[in-house]
Order: sequence, then C-alpha cells, then structure tokens
Amino acid sequence: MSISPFVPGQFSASQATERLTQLRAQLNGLQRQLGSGKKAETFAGLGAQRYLSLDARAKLAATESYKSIVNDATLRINLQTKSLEGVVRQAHAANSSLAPNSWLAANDGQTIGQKSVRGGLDEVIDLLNVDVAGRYLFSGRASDVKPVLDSRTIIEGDGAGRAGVKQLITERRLADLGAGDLGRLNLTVAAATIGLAEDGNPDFGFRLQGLTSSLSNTVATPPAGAPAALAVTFAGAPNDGETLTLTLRLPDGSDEQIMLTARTDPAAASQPGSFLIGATPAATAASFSAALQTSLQRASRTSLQAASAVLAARDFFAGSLNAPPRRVAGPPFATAAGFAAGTAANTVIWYRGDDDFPVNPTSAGARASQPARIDANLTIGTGAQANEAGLRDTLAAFAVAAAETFPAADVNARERYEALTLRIRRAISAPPGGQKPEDIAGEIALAGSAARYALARHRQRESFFLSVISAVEDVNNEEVAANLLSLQTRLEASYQTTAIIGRLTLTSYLR
Amino acid sequence: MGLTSALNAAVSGLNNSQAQIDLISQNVSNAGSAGYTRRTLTPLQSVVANRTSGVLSGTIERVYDRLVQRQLRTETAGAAYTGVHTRFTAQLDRLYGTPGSASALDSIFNSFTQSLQTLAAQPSSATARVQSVQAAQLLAGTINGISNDVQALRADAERAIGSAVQRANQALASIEQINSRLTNDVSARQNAALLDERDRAINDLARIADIKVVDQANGGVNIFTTSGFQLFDGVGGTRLQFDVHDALTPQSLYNTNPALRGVGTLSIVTPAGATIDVVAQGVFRSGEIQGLLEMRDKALVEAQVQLDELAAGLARALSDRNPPAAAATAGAAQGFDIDLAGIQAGNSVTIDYFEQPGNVARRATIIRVDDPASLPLPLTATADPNDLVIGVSFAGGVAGAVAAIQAGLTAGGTGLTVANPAGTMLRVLDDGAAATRDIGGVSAGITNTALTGQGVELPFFVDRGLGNAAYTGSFDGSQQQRGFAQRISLNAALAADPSRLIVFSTTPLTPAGDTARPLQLIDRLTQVNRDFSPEAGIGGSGLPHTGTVSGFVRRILDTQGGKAVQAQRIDEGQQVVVNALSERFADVSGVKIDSELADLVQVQNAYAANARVIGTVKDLIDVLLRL
Repeated sequence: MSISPFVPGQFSASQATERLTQLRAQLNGLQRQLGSGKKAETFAGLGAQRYLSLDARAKLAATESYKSIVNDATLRINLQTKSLEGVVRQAHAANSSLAPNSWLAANDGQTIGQKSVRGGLDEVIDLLNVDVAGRYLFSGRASDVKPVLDSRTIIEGDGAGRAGVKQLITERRLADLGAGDLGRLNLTVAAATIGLAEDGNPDFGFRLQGLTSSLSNTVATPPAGAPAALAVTFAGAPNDGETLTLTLRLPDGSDEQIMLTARTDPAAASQPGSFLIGATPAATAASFSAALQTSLQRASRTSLQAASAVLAARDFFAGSLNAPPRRVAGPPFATAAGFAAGTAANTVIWYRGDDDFPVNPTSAGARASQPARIDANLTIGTGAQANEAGLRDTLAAFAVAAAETFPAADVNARERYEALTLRIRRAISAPPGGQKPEDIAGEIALAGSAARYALARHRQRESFFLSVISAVEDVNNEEVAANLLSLQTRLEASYQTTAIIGRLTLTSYLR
Repeated sequence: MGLTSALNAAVSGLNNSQAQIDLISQNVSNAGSAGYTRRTLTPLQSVVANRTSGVLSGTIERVYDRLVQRQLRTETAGAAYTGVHTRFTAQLDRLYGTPGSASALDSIFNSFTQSLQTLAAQPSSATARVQSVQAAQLLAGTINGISNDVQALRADAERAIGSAVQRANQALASIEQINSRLTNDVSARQNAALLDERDRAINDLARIADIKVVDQANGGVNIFTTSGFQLFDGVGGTRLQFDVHDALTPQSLYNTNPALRGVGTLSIVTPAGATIDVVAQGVFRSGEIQGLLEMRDKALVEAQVQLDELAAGLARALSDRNPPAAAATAGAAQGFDIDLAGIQAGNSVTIDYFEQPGNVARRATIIRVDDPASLPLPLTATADPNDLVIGVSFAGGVAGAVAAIQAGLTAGGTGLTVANPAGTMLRVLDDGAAATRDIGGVSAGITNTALTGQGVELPFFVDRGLGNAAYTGSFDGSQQQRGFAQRISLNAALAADPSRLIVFSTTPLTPAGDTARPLQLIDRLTQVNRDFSPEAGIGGSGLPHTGTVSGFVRRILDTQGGKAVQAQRIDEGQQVVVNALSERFADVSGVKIDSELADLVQVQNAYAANARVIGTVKDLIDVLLRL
C-alpha cells in the first residue's frame, strides 16, 4: 500500500473531510498490515506478482506432499531393510544349524538343527508380516493383507483339506520313488541280461544318464531311446574288482553314481555296491540285479528323497492366490505321470499378498508394486513381496528342513539327512532363483538413498518457495512502521490544520 | 431634487439591503445543499428621467462555470461507471478467498491434490481415502459456492440496474416538469431555484448514463446520450424501462433475441411508443447503468465461464479415458483405428492432420450429439476456435455415425475418409496416393461412467443437476457445461465407498495397495495439459489456454485479481478527475461563508447608512414642520 500524495491547496470542508477519511483508511490499512503481517486480504491486493505467490503456493503444496511421501517411504524402507536383515541373519543361522556334522538323531525324528531352523522359519514369517499402521510391507499392492500364513499351517496344512508342505513332500516322494523305491525305474532280468528302463514319466524319479563298465565278458549298453533304457548282458564272468558305474540324474539336476564291483569272495560281495560273480552268467546276472536293486533303493531313499522333498517344497512356495502350486497328479502317486494344478481349495496358499508379479508377465516387478512418487518425475519402488524368489527360496529351504523327519528306525536316516542338509545349505547360499534376500535389501536401499536426496532437495525448495511467497505476500515491518509514522504525522497535522481552518471563519469574529 | 427623492432613494436602499440580506441568508443556509449554486445580486441604479432616483435590487444571478459543469457531468458518468466496475470486481476477487488462507480456492485445490498424493503413498489407508473424499467434497462445494456467489452478484447488478432505471426516470420526470415551467413562463426563466433544481436532476441523470445537454433558445434543454439517442426532447415522455429478473442462473444470459433472453431487458420507450433495446443498440457508453450491464453480461458471465471450464476440466480430467489409436492402412491410404466403445454425448474424437504441401496443421473434432435440435454446434463447442466441429449422433453406434461423420468431413473440405471396420472401431484415413493430406494423430476422450471396470479413470465428480450422472460435456438439449460449476459434486457412490479410489477393477480385484488410480488422478490434474476455452478470457484472445487444471485455477485467481486492481486504478484516476472538477466547480459556484459574511457586514452598514439617511430626512422634515 502506498500513500497518496497530499496536495495542499484550496481548502474546502468536504474535500478536507474526504482527504481525512482517506488518510484514516490508509492508517487502518497499515495497522491491519502490521497486525496480520500480510500485504493484502485479496488476490487483487497482492499486486502484479500475485501469480508468483499462487504458483509458489501450488509448488509448496506439492513439495509438502512429496516430503511426507518421502518420510512415509523412508519409514517403509527402514522397516523393510530391518526385516530383510533379519531374514539374512536367520539364513546364516540355518546354514550353521544344518552343518554337515550336525547329525544327532532325536526321539521325535528331528535334529536340534532342524528345530532351530523351525524357530527361524517362524521368525522369518514374522519379519515378512511386518506392517506400518496396518499396511503390510511384503504384500506388494495388497498392502491390507498379511502376506504369510503361520508356519504350522504352511507345514501341516490347515486341517480342513488344504495340504501343507508336508503333504506335498509326501506325494512327491511317492511319485519320485515309485513302486519298490526304485526311483521310477523298471529293473528286469532275463537270463543273463539285466534291463533298466525309465517308466516314461517326464518329471519324477531318476533319469538314466550314463553307464561305464570295466566288466569283462559283459556287454553294457548305455542308456538310449525314449524312455531311456540300458542293458547289461553277462556273456561270461567278469573279473574280481571290475566295476560298472551307473550315473543317475536326480530331478533337482544333481547326479548320483552307483558303482557295482564284481567280487568273487561272497563275504566281500555281500557289502553294499558289490555283486558276486556267479558260476554262470545267469547267476552273475541275478546277483548283479539284486545288488543294483539294493543300490537303487538306497539312492532313492537318500539323495532322491532329499531332492524330492526340496523340489516339493519349492513347488509349494511357488504358489500364490492366482497361481496355486502344482501338485503331483494322483493318487495313485507312485505311478503319477506328471503334475496337476493345485487349487486354493486343496492346497494351502502360504502367500496371501499381491501376486501380479510374477503371475502377470507384463508386471513391472515387486519393487514397482508400491511406487512412491517422491518428486514430479521421480518414482522409487518401495514394494516388496514375500513371494519374491529370494525370500521364497529361503522359506522353502527352511520349511523343508522343518518338515522332514528322520525316524530312528530308518537305516538311511543319516545319509538322507546329509543329502538334505547339503541341498538346503546350497539353496540358502546359492538360491536356485538366483536372487538372495540381500539383493532385495540392496534394491530397496537404493530407493532409500534416492528418497534421502529427494528430501534434501525438497527442503531446499520449500524454503525457496516460502521466501517467494513471503516476498509477495508479506509486509516489511520496518517499511510499514515508517509509513505508519509518516502517515500519523500527516494525519495529526491535517487534523490540526483542519481544526485551525475550521475556526478561521468570520462567523467567530462578528459580534 | 428634494427630501422626498432622498427618502425614496434611502428606502430603495433599504429594500435593496433587505433583498441582499435575504440572498445572503439563502446562500448561507444552503451552503451545503446539493446542486445549490451561489447566487449574487448586483444592485442597479434606478434611473428615472435621466436622473438616478435610487437603487434597484437587480436580478439574482447564479454563479457557475458552464464548461466545468459540462465536463463534470461527463466525468461523473465515467466515475459512476468505473465505480461500479471497482465495486463488483473487488467483490468478485474476494469470492476466491484470502491469499494463503485455507479457504482460498487455490489452497482448497492444492489440498485436494495433496490428499491424492497421500493416497498414492498410502493407498490402503482408510484415513487417506476418507481424506481424499473430504477434500474433493470441499473442492466441489467451494466451486459451487463461488459460482452461486457470482450469480448472486449478477442478480445484484440486475437489481441495481432496476433501481438506477427508477432514479433515471425520476430525474427525467423532474427535468420534464421543471423544463415545462421554464419554457412556458418567461418570468420563471431567471428563477435560480428552478434552474438549480433542473441542473440537479440532470446531474442525477448524468451519473446514471452518459449524456450531453443542449440548451435551447426558449430556456429549455434537450438531452441526448453521447451515442446520440434522445432522452429528453424538451417536452418529455421518454422513459427507461426495465423488467428485473430476480434470480439469475448461469443459463440466464443476454441474447439479442428477446425470446431467448434470460435477463432483464433495458429499453428506452419514446413518447411515440417506440421501444429501443439499450443493450442491442449500444445506447449507453458510460455511466452507472452501462457499468452494471457490463458486469451482468460480461465480467460476471466470464467469471462463471471460468468456473464452468474449471469444473468441466476437473471432472473430465479425472473421468476421461483416452483409447489408444492404432495405425491402419487401406491400399495407399494411411490413418488410424480408434475404439470408441462407450462414447458419451459430448465426448469427442479429435483428428489432427496436415495439408500438403506446406505441412499446414488442421484439426477436425467430432462430437457426439444425439439430439438433432442441438445441431449445428456453436464454434465454441471446442476450446480451439479454428477447428472443424462436427456434431454427430452415435445413437446407431459407430456404424450408424460413419455416414454423418464422412458428410461432415467432406463438407469441411478435410479430404479424409472414415470407415467402421468392426464393432465400435472408427477408422480415419488420409487421401492415399494423392498425398495432399497426412493424418498426424487421432485421439478421443471417452467419459467413464462407472467406478470400476472401465479403467483407472473414474467419474470422480458428477453433475448433481442430472441425477448425479457423469459429466460428459453433453450438448444434447442444453450445454451441460453452462453452470456446471454450480452443480459439480462428488460422486455419491465414491463417498459411500472410498475404496473405489483404489479399486478400479472387481475381476480381478484390484489390490488395496494399488497406486495406479491415485497416481493417474494426480497426473491428470497436475501434469496433463488440457485446452480451456478462450471464452474464459484467460490467455490470448481467440486462443485456447493450454495448461493443467491446477494451473488454470491459479490463472483464474490471477486474472480476477488483476482485473480488480485494474478497475480500482482506473477508478482512482477517475475519482481524481471528478474531485478536481468538482473542486473547481465548487470554487466558482460554492458558497463561501466568509465572503457572504463580509457582504453581510457591508449590507448591514449600507442598511444603517440608509436608515441614517431616512433619520436625517425625518429630522429635516421635523425641522420644516416646526417652522
């Protein structure tokens, strides 16, 4: 507000009154400015720069939003990072709990290591179920849903017809081991010829991978055809100590070798992996066949069963609401020819959150499931899903350790345990999905640092916009006070002058 | 020469003094009266047979400056005009709230976008959802409120015109009356009181309308408007006439066709009974009435259009989906296919093409208009004043509309071809081998009418006047946009179920933490540019204002604030002129008590002296009689 000039001139009462009123109005205006600190109470009063202030206010509002979004995202990121750190810690702990020399059978069929991994599983689930004010951080877009069920339901099933990990492991074991625990291989003996053939199913049991033989007088036909079959024909007697090595591929891709050594000494031949050289090729074949069967059964009941359990658990954990886990088609499972899609009605769906990733191939990924727009053109992904490969593999490894039992009566228990823990530790340290919980934490930390930079930028901007608004809208107190003072002086002088001029009339002097 | 003549002279002197005192008392007592001009009495010597026989009182004369009076009248009209502008624009400016306060329109809009930002950050939070709904309700309510206030201001202007017309007619009646006395009675012509009264009535009229006064030889006046219409012909009978419409709505507008007019009609009725439409003929150029008319028919209408544009932009920014256009070819002709499924009345398809050679950019807009009575569409149907606008009925689907679209495109000389290859698909092709046309792009804005199942856009705001139906910008029947600012309201279904702020699909169900919808809403308000009609008076004249909805809010406040300041500045300047003129006029015509009293002293002395003369004559006669 400026002060209009006062031009002393012709005095007229009405003009003087008007001027006084104007001065008084200006005085009131200045008083209001001093009181409110604002230049004006209307947009018109802000002057030509009002657009600056309007614009700055809009940007300030946006900046404030961005700041609160950054704060919110930072909180989420911090909690997610804490959770993921916890998961990593648990994975390390499991790794040492299931160390190769940790076999120590207990009455209930589970080792101390397994029990501690079961505790770890509970903790991991708890970590993944973390929430901020009711918003779950590992559910992807379904932030209102607690992502992971409790470990008991996951392992045992819900008791209402939905299968847990245990049942899937059992079914898969039946399918992998097949009738007679031969790993779905058919062993035949015809005179001096032993035949071993896959049963034609594509998914379960052993795959015949290779056959090497140093047996004399023996024709060893390596696996060929589909389904693959091999044959060993004894034309005469092999020599003592000669061996035949059969390479079997397990469903998890690892190879298992069965070596059979020809022995003339019946005592030596009774050792596992040996067969007695008989009087006739047929007798040798019979002995060979019996030894092969024993070895196959042993491999089935140890490595194959361990691999089968790990795969079953991995299948279980690959399931989500819109893509229930695949299950072995059956029953009967022992002759299953493949997988059948599970349903949410017959299988526990352990992950209850958003599964757009990975079900939808066009999904932008778990991180993008909770985007936080922290600046006009900067969006960080703060989403995470408990069913991401890194977390899912860890959970599967934990669950299989917690689900499996090793009864004292099982002669293969220790060997199976070792085969299993080897696979579990491998899954933890080099997960099959290629992603580790650390990788997720790393991605989220990147988002976090972007958020920190954005926050610093927003703080600077905020103070800049405030200064712009202040320059347009706020009054300078010194200026107002000075104006007020000069106006007061003029008003007082005007009152005085008006009073004097008012008295200066002839009327007063006529008697 | 003799005592008698001395006595007579003295008596005439006494009479003169008395007349002077009488006049001084009149001047003093009327010192503050409106329209009173100072009067003077110049005594004349009375000459009888070549000899001075005494003094005559002379005639009473009004002291005034005719030129200043004329200027003052002109400027008074101007001041009344600018005064009206200032008063109304300041009130209008105040409607948008105090800058920076929570109640300012821009603050309320900003809090709405802020609430959406929060919602995007915390989509599953019930609090964030409810806050967005409340912020939207407040925004809609504020726009309704401002729009209602704008119409209330228009109604104020309408009533003020009514009252000004009444005053003008009173002034005309009194001018008529006084004028007839002045012209009929020669002796009355010098009657200062009557002349003052007539001037006062003319001044009253000059405040209401811009007039010029022509003095007549017979002492009468003729009054014309500056545009040349006669308001007073020296006899009278001309009157202003105005039918006040009490309640004004955004739809009640001035129209040259009286049947379509929604506001009061101001007319001049001549004694012969002819009626002149003041607005249509542009009778007034200044003065109070012209100021009020401009407020009622221009400034406030423009403010309403701004709010309507804002409301429409707000609703459609959030509700319109833009189906993708896929490239299509047919032989040598190239163009695009666009799916128009669900096109609503008022929705449009925009074809941008180039004329070759020269690459001249052209635009054709096809708008769904099912009611043939609403055709042809006005040029203002789209924000772009230079595009070809084709209103077409889609009542028979795209297949039924293709012929009409083709006819429109052909009539408009676009050289484009349209077809309906399948279903709701519209194919637009250029002229192929002739290569005189190239299509740059085809786009459509199709209003979603349901909260779910149509994509992330949703009818966030609806038209309360149409039973809470989605706002589609329909032209069927009446223009839906006009007055939409008064009717815009939050979709009640959304208020009832705020989860729909997130959930845009029920199968598959959108997860509660999905951010697609809120992020899209924010982008549409703060990032995506729209065209706003030049009718809103924002941006260059004749050019649409292109900007975000959020930016448009600020431009409204800026523009209205600027107008208020401008009006105030002009008014201040005008007041200075009027003050200076009235000061000059008062200087000449005003009563100065001091000079009157000084005169009084003189007159008193003269009276005493005359009395003394009479006394002396009496003494002399006494001496004579005692002889």
